[in-house]
Amino acid sequence: MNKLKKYRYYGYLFSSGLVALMSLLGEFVQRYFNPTNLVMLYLLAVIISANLWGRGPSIFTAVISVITFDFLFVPPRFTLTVADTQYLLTFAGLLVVGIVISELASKMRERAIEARNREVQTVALYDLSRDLAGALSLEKAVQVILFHIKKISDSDLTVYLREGESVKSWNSGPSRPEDEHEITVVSQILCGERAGKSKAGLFAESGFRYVPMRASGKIIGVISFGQDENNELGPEKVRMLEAIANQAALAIERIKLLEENRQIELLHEKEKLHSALLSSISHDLKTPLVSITGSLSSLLRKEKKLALSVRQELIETAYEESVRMNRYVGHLLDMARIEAGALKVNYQPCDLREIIGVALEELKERLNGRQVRVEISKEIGEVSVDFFLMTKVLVNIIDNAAKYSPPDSSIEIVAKTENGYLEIRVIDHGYGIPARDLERVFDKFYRVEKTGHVQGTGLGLSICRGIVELHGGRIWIESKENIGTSVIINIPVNRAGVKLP
Amino acid sequence: MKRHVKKRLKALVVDDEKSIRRFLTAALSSYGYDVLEAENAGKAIELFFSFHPDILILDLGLPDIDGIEVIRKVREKASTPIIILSVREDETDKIAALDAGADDYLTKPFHIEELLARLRAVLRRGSSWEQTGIFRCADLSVDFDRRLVEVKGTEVHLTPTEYDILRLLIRNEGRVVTHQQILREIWNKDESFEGVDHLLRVTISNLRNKIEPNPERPAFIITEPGVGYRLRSGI
Repeated sequence: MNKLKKYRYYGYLFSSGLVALMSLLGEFVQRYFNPTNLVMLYLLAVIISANLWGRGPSIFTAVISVITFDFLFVPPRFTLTVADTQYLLTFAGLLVVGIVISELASKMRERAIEARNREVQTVALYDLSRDLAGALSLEKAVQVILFHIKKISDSDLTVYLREGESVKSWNSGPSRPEDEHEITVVSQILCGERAGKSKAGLFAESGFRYVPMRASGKIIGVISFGQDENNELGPEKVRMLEAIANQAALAIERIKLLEENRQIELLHEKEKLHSALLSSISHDLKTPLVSITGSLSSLLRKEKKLALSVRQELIETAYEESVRMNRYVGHLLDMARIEAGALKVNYQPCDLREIIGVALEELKERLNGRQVRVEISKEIGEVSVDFFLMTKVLVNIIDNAAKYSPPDSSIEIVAKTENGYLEIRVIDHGYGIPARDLERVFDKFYRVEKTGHVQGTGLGLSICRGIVELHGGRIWIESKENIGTSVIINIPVNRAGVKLP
Repeated sequence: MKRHVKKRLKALVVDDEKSIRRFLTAALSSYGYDVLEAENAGKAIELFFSFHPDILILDLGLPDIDGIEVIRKVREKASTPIIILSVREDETDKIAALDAGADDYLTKPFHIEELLARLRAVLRRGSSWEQTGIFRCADLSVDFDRRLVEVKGTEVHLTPTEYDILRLLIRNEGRVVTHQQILREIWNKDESFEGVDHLLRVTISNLRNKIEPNPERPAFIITEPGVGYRLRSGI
C-alpha cells in the first residue's frame, strides 16, 4: 500500500520537475519563437508524464502547464493576468489536448501493463503445469504447488487435501500450530457447505483467506493463506490463485487416479503371482505324493508277487520321496514364517565352526562323502547370530553347491571377519549360473532353466536371503558358467563382544 | 538288537496321532519290544503305573495335558527312561522336557534307526568300558584308571576340565547332555550365564581340536543346537 502511494507521489513530483524543465527550455528559446508555440513544449511534458506515470500525474501536468505557461510566457510575464484574450483559447487548447493525451496514453499504458501481467501469468501457469506434469507423487505435486504460489504471495500457505474421510495438510513455512477455526472453515469448504458465501472463489475469514481447489466439479482441497498485512491480494492475484488452484486440483486428481491404477495393477500382479505360486506348490507337493502312494499301493496289492529287488526299489522310492516332501514342507513353512514376519532372530554368541559342523552333519547323506574344505580364519571369535537360522542358511547353500556341481568336485567354505562384518563364502566348482539369472535365483520358486533335472523347492535361496536380511546382512552370488559359483554371506557381527582366546 | 535283549522289553508309546502309534508299534514289535499304546496323557499315566513299562516314548503335544506334566508325574515315582517325540523345532521345549526329567528327544519326522539308537543309549546298562575301565571308539581310547586319552595310539594331553567333560559325555554315550548338566557337573553352576557359556564353548572347541580327526566336521562330539552335546555312539 505505502509503496504504491509513494510511487504516485513521485509521479506528481517528477511531473512538476518535468514542467520546470520545459519552462527552463522555454526561457532559452522564447526570444526565437512566438509564445503560443512554447505550448508544444508543455504538451511534450504531458505526453511523457502520461506514459511514465499514468492518468493522474499527466492531468496534473496539463493543469500546471497551463498555469506556468500563463505565468512565465504570456505577456504581461510573471503575472497570471492575460493581456491578449486570444491566449485563453491557447490555454483551453493546451488543457483539452493535455487531458485527451493523458487519457489515451494512460489507457495505452494500462493495456501494456495488463498485457505484461497476462504474459507473466501465462508463463507462471505454464511453468506450473509443466512442473505438475513432472510430479508423479502427491507429495511432489504439493511441493510444486507451494513453490509456485510462494512466487505470488509471501504469506504463510497451507494446502489441505481430502484423503478419503480425513484431511491431510502441507505447510509452506515453518510448521505452526493448527488453528482450530481454520480447520473448521477448511472442512466446511471441503464439504461444500460454504459454496454460497464464496465471493470470487475466495473466502476470507478472521485473517485467513481460502481458495478452494476444484476438479471435475468437486472441491478436492483448499489452499489457505495466513495473515499478511503488507500484501493485499488484488483481483489479478485472486484470479491467478484460482487458476493455480484449479490446475493444481486437476494435477492432484490425475496423480490420484494414477495411484489407484497402480494399486489395481499391483493387485492384479499379486493375484497372478499367487495363482502361479499355488500351482507351483501344488505340483511340487503332489509329485512326491504320487510316487509314495504309487509305490506303497503296489506293495500293498501285490507284495507276494513282486521280486525282492522290486520291493526294495519301491520302498526306497517311497522313503526318499517322503524325505523330499518333508524338506519341501519345511521350506514352505520357513518361507511362510519369513513372509509373515514371524521369524525372530535369537542372537546368541556362537562358535562359527559349530554352526558349519551342524550344517554338514545335517547334510551328511546328501553330501555322500563329497570333499568339503572348511577354512575359518583364526581371528574370528564368537559371532553373535541365530544358531538355528544360520545353520538353515548354510544347509541350503551347501546343499545347492552340492546339487549344482559334479559329484567328484570339492566344495569350499571360507569364513573371515573384516571391519565388523562376517563373510562366509561357499564355493563350488560346478556348472555356474548364467549372468542373467544371478539376481533372480533369489526369487521364490525360481530355478535356473538349464538345470531342470535337479530337484529342489526353488525356495532355498529366498529363505537364505530372508534370514540373512533379518540379521541385517547381505547375500549375493558370484558365478562363472562352467567354472563355479560362490555364494557370499556378509553379516554385521559387531554385537559379538567376546573373542575366543 | 535281539541278540542283546534277554527278555522282551515293554515300551509305552504315547501319541495322539493314530498313524504314528500304528507305525511305531509295528516297527518296535519287529525289533523285539512289546508295545503299549496311549492316545492321551491320562491314559498314559494310567497304563504306566499299571504295567510299569521299561521305556516311555512320549509326544509333547497331547490333547489333555502337556507332555511335560506327564514327565513330572512319572518322575515323581519312577526313573524309567523317557524319550520325547516332538514336531516342535523350538529348543526351549526340548530343554523344558529334559529339565523335567526326560532322557532324550527326537524331532519328528525321524528315521526309525535314530529312534532305535536313542532307545539303545538310554536303556544301556553296564557298558563294556565300565568293567574294563577303557572306552574305545574308532581311533579314540580313554583309559579312566590312568586318566590317559589316546588318538590313533598317540597320547593326547587334556586339561582337567576337558577330561571331565569328555568323561561326562562318555558316561552318557549316545545321549544328549544339556548345557545345564555340564555346567552343573563341571563348574558347579546352577545358572547358565555368559561367562560360563563362553567357557563351555571354548572348552568343547579345544577338546574337539585335540580328539576329533576333523574338528570342522566333528565325529565324536556332536552339537545339539541350543540344547547341548552328544557323544556319538557306535562308530
